[in-house]
Amino acid sequence: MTRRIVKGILIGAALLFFLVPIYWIVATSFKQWPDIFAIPPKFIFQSTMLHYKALFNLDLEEVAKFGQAGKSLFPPRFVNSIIIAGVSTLLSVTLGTFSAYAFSRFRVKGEGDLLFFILSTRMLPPIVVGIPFFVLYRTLGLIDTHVGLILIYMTFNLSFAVWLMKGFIDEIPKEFEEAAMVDGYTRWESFVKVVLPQALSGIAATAVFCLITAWNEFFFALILTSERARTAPPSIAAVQGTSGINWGQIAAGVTVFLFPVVIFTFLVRRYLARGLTFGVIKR
Amino acid sequence: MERVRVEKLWKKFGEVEAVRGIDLAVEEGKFTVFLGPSGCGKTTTLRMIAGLEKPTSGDIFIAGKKVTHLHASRRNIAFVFQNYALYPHLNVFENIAFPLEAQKYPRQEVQARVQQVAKILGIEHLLSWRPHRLSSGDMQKVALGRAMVRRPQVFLMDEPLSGLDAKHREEMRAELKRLHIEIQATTIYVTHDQIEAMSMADTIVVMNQGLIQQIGSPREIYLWPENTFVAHFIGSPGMNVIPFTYDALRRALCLETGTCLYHEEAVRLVEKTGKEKFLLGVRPEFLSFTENGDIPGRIVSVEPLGYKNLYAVEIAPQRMVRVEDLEKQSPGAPVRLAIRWDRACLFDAQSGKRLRWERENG
Amino acid sequence: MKKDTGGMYQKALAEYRLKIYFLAPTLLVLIVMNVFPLIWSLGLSFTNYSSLMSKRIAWVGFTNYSRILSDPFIWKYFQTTARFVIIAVGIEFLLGFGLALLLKEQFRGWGLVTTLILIPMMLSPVVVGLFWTFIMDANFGLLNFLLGLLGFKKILWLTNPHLALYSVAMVDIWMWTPFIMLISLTGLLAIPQSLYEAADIDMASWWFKFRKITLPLVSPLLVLAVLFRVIDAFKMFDLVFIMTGGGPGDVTETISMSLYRLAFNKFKTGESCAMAYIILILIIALSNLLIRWIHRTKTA
Ligand SMILES: Nc1ncnc2c1ncn2[C@@H]1O[C@H](COP(=O)(O)OP(=O)(O)O)[C@@H](O)[C@H]1O
Ligand SMILES: [Mg+2]
Repeated sequence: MTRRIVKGILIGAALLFFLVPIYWIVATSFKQWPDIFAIPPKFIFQSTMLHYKALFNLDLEEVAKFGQAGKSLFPPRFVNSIIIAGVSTLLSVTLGTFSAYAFSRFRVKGEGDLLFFILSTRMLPPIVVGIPFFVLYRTLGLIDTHVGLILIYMTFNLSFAVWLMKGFIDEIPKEFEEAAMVDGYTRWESFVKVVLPQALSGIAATAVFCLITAWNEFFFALILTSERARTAPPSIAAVQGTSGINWGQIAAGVTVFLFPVVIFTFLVRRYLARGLTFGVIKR
Repeated sequence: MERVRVEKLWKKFGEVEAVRGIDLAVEEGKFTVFLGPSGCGKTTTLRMIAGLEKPTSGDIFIAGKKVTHLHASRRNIAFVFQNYALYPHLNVFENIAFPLEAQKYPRQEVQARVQQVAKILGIEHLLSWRPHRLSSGDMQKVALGRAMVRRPQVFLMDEPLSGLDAKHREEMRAELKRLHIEIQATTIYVTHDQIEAMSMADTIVVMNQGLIQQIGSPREIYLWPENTFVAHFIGSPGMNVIPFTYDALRRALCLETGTCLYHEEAVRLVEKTGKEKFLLGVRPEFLSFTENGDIPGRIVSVEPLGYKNLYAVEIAPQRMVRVEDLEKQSPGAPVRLAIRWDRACLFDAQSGKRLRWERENG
Repeated sequence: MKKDTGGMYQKALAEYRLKIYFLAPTLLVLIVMNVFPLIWSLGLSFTNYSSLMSKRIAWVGFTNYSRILSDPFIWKYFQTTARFVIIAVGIEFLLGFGLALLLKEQFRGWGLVTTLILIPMMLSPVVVGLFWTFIMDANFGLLNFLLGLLGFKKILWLTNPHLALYSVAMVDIWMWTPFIMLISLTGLLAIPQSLYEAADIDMASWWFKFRKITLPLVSPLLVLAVLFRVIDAFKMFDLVFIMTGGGPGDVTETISMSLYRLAFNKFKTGESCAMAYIILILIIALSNLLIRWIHRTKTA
């Protein structure tokens, strides 16, 4: 009995440790200007949508009264994040599914080595790859373009998609396609009509992981974009107000930015271990 | 002397009542088998005796000591699991040595005892193997070895042979019986396979729906089932159970077709109860074809069993009885069946309980 | 008969084509986008190229490499990184595994609790770094307030040179303990309950079960999780960049941070490529370990 109580307390403490910081930033985004810096910190406060209005450039007059300078750059960057994460995910999952199928079903020469080559590209530190990309993109005029970032994110997620999808496709019994092919379907048709539908939940999970990775990515966005194609992460950090760091608006930006990630985390919770280990763990 | 006693044992899993009040005493050195259809609560009962499951109510005694609330690790019993539960990362030697090492036995003794057990089971050559390389028969032996090495108060076994193929199962059955005779350890053995139960048990406990139906020797259970459940369940095919009505005027047992049986002892027994509806239970081998048999019927099908045949005989519309006979008959043939009354059972139709013959009481 | 084999041949050819179509795009992308830039930067690492100035590119041989390897600061940054990795991953391991042991038995709301605990690792490091900077603010931060309630004095989490690295490590721990917890938990839940029951029957104590069953059976996954974390922590950039920018002074300057500075503040591209290659070799060594381990885990 005492053991259960101690256990409950420890688990409760862990929950607090992991969730209070998140709660705090979300709460801050709804706090009025002076409450944000109140000492002692305020747990109960009058809430306001001011920071969100400022973030999305709504009601500029009211926002201006509170000493906010200029228009927020957040909306276009948020849109950039959506476009770049979305398109790159689509590409890597598509390519990944095709090659995962090939690895799973065909005899590929040097399959093991190829797969591990693919995995090893994911291990490269972004900064190491980033330097040549920076030089290369400048030469090619890809700096600060959507295409440039999409290409990088696609590559970065591709190895992951191949590995994860291979695991999922391996689990679909070969017999289904063989039956379809005996019935006169071609390999391609049976891939489309038999394998894809069964791999759907796996594809969805893979897509969510790619989406989150691209959505969260900071470093490449920092060095390869400046204005037009800049995504949310490097810009949230740079919201400056007239009185130093504008924490209220940062908090609002962070909250808006976190929201989809939390939702997606819940959606793929069954696949988390699998996704985070490239499918090495099967549950 | 009794080694294990169980009193008014109940177990509920939420809404499901797996065991519904069991009283039982297991004799020291005896081989007791829990027999019953799947889901009747055998495993649950065994796990409660082992301490792996907490009873909802009731008490358990081992060697006279109340152990109801004692943790499994303090009961000094051995349990052979249905799936063997071998430690996958340990080799055979380490698996068998595990219980001894948990008790911090000196290394020499561990060595000696494991060797001895391995020798008895004939698995000395496998000692350095990991479980996944073993055949299921050998896994079975390792699981047994792990149980034997400890010299526990009781052996509990949950369907230990169910993972084996038919041939190995037969071998292991004989092996287990031999081991039991050799070490005379009190054993409770769970199975849904009546052949296993019949061939190994000193005592069979027949269970159904969380209740004990009958406790007895294999012979008693086979010949004198206490109720219609046991009658149906034991034997393959089970006992024929034919409904009839007692006709007081004619002093006869009449079937639904109007055929009446005149048997003095049966009539006396039935009369005493003052009831009307009864069931007559006869095993197929105690029915035979005779020209002047009591019950007319027609042969529907024949299954040759080698030296004799198993017949399905229709004695009334939609009512079939099974008959074992040496005689050769073809489907469609009219026959008359004779009953061996000294092996027949009478059941109360309402309660399903068997009526005791006068000769049993005397 | 002849026609038949022709059909077979056609079919095999079609399958072969499909295989190529399925594989080629992926391999092409990876070669163009990963292998080619790496080769190119290898070339650059032997030059004095700077992406800022348009001076003539000169071949300098191993000068860049020898300069970096003899630079005492770089060594210091390696040490800083190593300290960070050891502290962060060490504590993540202990907390994560401990937490997994606590969460091994299911209870009401178990699914929700475990998922909630996993949220931190899914968040963007930038965002995490940002709000922890806010929470660790010396004056109005929540952390100092809470510690104040316990009677602690004001702590300069990010500006005290003795503390800053640990503060960043603490945020890394907050983010990644859930990862170790998740992997350990997966491993723990994969151990069949019947093994523990068998051990109970065998009269094993709690500690004996832990040593003889739990540890050996989860250790492959624990090693996997730790390797993943070591590689990731070694590359760590975002948190430091956001929270301290390497400061105060250079106490939180990790190698990724200093490489960034070299390449994008000082624009010494050639030299930074050389440094990148040195880091790359280390990462490859670590990754190789990981990949081998994955191989073992997969075949086991
Ligand atoms: N852990 C459990 N939780 C819920 N119900 C259970 C559990 N164990 C057994 N039962 C139920 O109890 C009944 C008896 O099960 P069991 O003792 O395993 O039967 P047997 O071993 O005779 O096949 C079954 O209906 C089964 O579904
Ligand atoms: Mg059972």
